[in-house]
Amino acid sequence: MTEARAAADLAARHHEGLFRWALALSGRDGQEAMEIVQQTYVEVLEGRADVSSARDPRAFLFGVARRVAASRRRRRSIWGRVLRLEISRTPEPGGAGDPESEASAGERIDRVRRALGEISGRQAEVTALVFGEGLTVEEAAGVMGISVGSARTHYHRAKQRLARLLEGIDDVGGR
Amino acid sequence: MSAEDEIRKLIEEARDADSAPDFGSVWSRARARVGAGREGGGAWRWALGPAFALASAAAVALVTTALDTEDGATGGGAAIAARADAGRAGALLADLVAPEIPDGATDGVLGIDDDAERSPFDFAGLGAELETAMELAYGEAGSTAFPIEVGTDFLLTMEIPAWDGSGEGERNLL
Repeated sequence: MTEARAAADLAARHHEGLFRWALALSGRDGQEAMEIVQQTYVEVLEGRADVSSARDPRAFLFGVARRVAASRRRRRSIWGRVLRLEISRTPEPGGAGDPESEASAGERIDRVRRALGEISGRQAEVTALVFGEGLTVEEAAGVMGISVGSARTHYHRAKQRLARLLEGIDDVGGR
Repeated sequence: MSAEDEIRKLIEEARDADSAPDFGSVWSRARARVGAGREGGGAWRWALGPAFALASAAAVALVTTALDTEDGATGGGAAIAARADAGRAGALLADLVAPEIPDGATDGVLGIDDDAERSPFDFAGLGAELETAMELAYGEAGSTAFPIEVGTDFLLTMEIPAWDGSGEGERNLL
């Protein structure tokens, strides 16, 4: 199997998770998330990010995406100040099913998203990685480039904050 | 179910509502961007290469003129004479002049036009050779002679006289 083919297979395996992670990194900006994912693949294809030597390819890809997002944020911040660019947002995808339960699920999802939007950067990141993508706190620390102790602290605070923000939905914060 | 599990469930529900764009199209665009980057890089190299070469040649010409003025030369720059020297081995400047040095070659530019005619894009290499030649010429108190290889049959020697502005030594021995 060629190197490019191996990289493509790996990327395809983690594409969904990578996009969701990019959504979290971009503050749920669909267009920006797609740009982050695409640029992450460019980094891999150009060999700047050697995924073949990574111990945990998924965590490695997520780490590359995080650096790409940070780089794009910096650039946008500079150009945004100069040109006052408006970043377009893609519409939220909708689901299909029973209108009543759909509305109820939709409201719940909206509330969860709003809550996620209210927690701070590092807490939001560790939440997306641990709750959203099923990484361990140790793996999340690797992706975020911080110590495990620091990641644990962010994780703990994120849980407390989310419990307060989501109080009243189902059983959250009920005990 | 603990609050933590409930949060996890809610986040997973929100996560599953997000649909990722098709992998194939994103990957293809990334590949196209990589390809375009390589082509763009090549184009830049093609565009900048000759520009740097020309700038290098122009810089050498300017330095030559400046030094010429400082030495009080009456114009015309270095007087160059060339003579056949079939017995000398080794070459300092390769392919710098044509086998027959025209009269116009005594203009201090060391036959640059002749060389440019043969190899119009090799200004960078020519500039470096010119620089070496000028350093040698100015480094000596008297005239400086160095051989020039012309093909494999015979050698020419360029003779650059002392830069005293007198014009002595401006002779063509060919």
